[in-house]
Amino acid sequence: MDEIQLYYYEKVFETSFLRKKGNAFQDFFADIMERCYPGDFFRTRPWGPIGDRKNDGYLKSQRTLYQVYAPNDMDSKEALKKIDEDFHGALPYWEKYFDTWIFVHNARDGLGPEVVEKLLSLAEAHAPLCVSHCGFPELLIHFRKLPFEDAAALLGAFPSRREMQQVRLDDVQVVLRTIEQSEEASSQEVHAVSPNKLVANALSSAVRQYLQLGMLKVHLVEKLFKEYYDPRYGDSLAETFRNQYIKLRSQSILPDDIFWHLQSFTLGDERGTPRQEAAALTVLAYFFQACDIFEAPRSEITG
Amino acid sequence: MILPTKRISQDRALLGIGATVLQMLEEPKTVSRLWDEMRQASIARIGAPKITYDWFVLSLDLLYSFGVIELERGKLRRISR
Repeated sequence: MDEIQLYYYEKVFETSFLRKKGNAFQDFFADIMERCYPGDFFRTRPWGPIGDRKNDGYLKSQRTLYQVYAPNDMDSKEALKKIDEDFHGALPYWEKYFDTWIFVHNARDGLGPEVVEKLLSLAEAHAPLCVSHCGFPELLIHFRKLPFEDAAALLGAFPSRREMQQVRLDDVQVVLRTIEQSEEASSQEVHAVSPNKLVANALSSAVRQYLQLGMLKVHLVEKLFKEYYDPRYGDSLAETFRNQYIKLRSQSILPDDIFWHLQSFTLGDERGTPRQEAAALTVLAYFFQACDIFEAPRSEITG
Repeated sequence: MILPTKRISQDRALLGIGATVLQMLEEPKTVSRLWDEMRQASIARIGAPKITYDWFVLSLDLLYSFGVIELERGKLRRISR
C-alpha cells in the first residue's frame, strides 16, 4: 500500500476497532487473523451445547490460543471474572495445544492495573505457559501485514484517483445534504486561506496528498454554491464545518486525526461508496482552502 | 447575506441586488413588474447570478428598512431625500 492508502485504512481500522462490540468485534478480529495467517489461524464458533470451549481463535504455528472480550464498556470487575473463567475454562480442552494464551480486548487506551495484574499473576502461576493481551496496537500490527486487496475486502474500497475524476456535482450535493442537517448556521467572518496553511497545521504528507487529491474537483463545490437557489447555503455549511473543527480542536486531537474526524463527520455514521468518499474529500478540500477549519499561518494573521 | 461573503458574490448579496433594484426604480413600479425586469436583465446578462423571488423580496425588505424605498398606491418608488 502507498502512504495515502495506509493512512486511510489505518483510520478506518481504528474506527472499526472503536465501534465494534461483542460478536461483531470477535468477527473483526477473526477476519483479520484469517487473512493474515491463511490456513494457520482457526476461527472457532460455538457448536451446539458444547459452546466454543473458551476458544475464540487458535494460531497453530505459534501455539497461541485467543479469547476475545469486547464489551460496550470495559468494567474491571467483569473483565477479571471473564479472564478467570476463560483461562481456566480453556485448560481442560486446550492446554496441550497452546503455549501462549492471549486476552484480546477492545480497550483503546489500554487495560486497567487490576487486569494487568491478573494477567501477570496467571502467567506466573501457570509458567511455562505465557499469558498476554492483544489490544489496539497489537491488532494493528497484524492488520498492517495485510495486502491492499485484503484491507479493501475487510474495510471497503479506497477511492482511487479515477474515482476522484469521476466525482460529479450530484455526488458533492449528496454529501453536502448529509452534513447540512446536522447543525444550525450562524454568521462569521471568513478569512482568505493561505497556501502555507498546510505546513502551518503540521499535517502529515498523507493528509496533504489527500487534500491535493480533493482539489481535483473543488470547482464543482464552488459552482454549486454559486448556483444554488439559496445563496446562504455555502456559508451555512462553512459554519457547520467550522463549528465541528473548533469542537475537535478543543479536544486536543492531532491535526491528522481532526482531518479524519471531519471526513467521518462529512459522511455520517456509515462509510460511503468510493465515489461518496471522493466527494467527501472534495468537500473537505474546498472548506480547507476556503474557510477556517484549520489554523491560518502566523504570517497571515493580522490584527 | 446582506454583504458579500466568501461564497456570496457582490451581485448576489442583498446589498448588491438592492443597488440593482434602486437603479430600476427610475419610476414607480409594481413589485411584479420590477421582478420581471430583474429576471429579464439576468437572462440577458451572461454569467449573471441566479436569484429566486424570495431573495429578491428580501432585498426589497432591506431597502425598505434602510428607508430608501416605499410602497405607494401599490407601487414601489424611491424615497427622495
